[in-house]
Amino acid sequence: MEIDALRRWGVMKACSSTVRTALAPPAAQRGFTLVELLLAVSLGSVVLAFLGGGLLLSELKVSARVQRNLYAKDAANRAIDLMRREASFSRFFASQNAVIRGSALAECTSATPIVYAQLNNVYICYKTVAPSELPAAYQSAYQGPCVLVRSGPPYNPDGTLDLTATPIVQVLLDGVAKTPFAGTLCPSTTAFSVTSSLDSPSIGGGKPLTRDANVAITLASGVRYSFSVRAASNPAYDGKDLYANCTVLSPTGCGLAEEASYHFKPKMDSVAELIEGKESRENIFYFEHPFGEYTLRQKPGSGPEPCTYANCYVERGGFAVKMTNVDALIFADQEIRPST
Amino acid sequence: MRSRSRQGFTMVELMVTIVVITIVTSVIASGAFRFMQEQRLRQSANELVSYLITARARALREATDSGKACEVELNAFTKTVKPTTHLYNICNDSPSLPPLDLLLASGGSDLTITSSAGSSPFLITFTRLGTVASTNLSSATVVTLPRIFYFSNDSPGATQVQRCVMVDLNSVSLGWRNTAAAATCAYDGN
Repeated sequence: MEIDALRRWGVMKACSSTVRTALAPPAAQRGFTLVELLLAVSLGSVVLAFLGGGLLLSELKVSARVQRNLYAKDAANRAIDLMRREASFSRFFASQNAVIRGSALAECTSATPIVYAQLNNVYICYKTVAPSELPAAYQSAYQGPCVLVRSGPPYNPDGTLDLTATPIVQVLLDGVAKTPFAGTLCPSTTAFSVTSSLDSPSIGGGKPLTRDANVAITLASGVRYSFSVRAASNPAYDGKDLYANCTVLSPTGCGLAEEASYHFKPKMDSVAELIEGKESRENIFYFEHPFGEYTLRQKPGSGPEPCTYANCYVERGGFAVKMTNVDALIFADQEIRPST
Repeated sequence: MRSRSRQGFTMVELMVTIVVITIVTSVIASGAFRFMQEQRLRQSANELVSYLITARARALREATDSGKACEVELNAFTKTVKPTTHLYNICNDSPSLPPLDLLLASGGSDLTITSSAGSSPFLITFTRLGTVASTNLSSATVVTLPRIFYFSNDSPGATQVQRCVMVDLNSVSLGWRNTAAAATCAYDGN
């Protein structure tokens, strides 16, 4: 009020600048200037934008990682499901090089950890490879460090295997193995391991037959899956009754021509009996008495060397049979697979 | 004479301000437009992935009869995906899998779909095991896996980002690539 009055009376004009300064509000009561305000607001905005942006980005990254892990787990579950299904309709289950000798499929080698045998000497096997080992056109489609591939006959639309088609190699699961291996290859050992009773201690120079195996897969995320697969019961293994009357010997055995296995029942009525199995099939030999009643060795007169895939000589009560390409020996109480 | 503190902005100051605002706005708008275009492509490719996963689930669940499978065809010209009319197509049995318009699903106006192999319409057959068959119900042509479908936007000034849908023996994945920088797609997983 007083200042307005002074203005009206023209006193202000007459006053010196010192007086004007004295009449202005004290410094503590002055507000911010527009420039100060704008500066503060813009600085605040920049800081907030950085903070908010960082938070948003980290949230997006976490969400993407969760999504990736979900996808990976889903894919792994489906791969495991398919492996189990394929095992379940396979005729017998092989590991190492016991029964895949003579296979035309290069991918199913002795180093392949798991092999399912189908009819007509066709095999399905799984192993891990580096994406760089895949056909050039598709290498970059997979992230690795390893991929689980399936090698075997392709699928018909009705879900059956096309056993007449050329076997193909297809990727079943990407993102296997937590860390890359040295070099570019992915040995099927650590990230994809298979154990079965084929790897258990020997019985009478051979290994027990099995239809089960334990499989473990480690994903790139570090998640480890462990599961068991069971091949369908090969009727041949339980064929003591089925083939009780089998007297036909080599070269076709007692089985049907399209079967993956050949079945032999030695007569055991002489010492000169010779049965030669066929390399491309699983050759199964049946004996009607318990394992303990027989003596197994490599050849007549040889020492206690255990019977092998290439040479097996079985004696009982003065009679004997010599066999070659022996995949399985089925006794009344025991089933064994000779060592290779 | 009026004091300096009561002067307004000069014309030059105003013009400069307007120009600066215009430039900033146009940069933001173009970024937003590009972002929206990419999102439309992503949405469209995602719709195809969902459709294929649904078809696979249906094959697993329902194609238990011998000879049945779920076969869908992706038409690159009409930008649609639908079950084929094959007699053994479980996805065509009532209630059939409804057709999907990928263009409509994306909300976009321009969409180009190409494939790593074959010609439109592309057939994909899921077996009762959930695997992709090596031949289709309607065609004996052997299918090579993986099959990749590229979704791109070809309008003038369009983004160079493409979306990729990879169909493999046992998986369907969504990925992307920037055609200016990479010839191959990066996949998130699955």
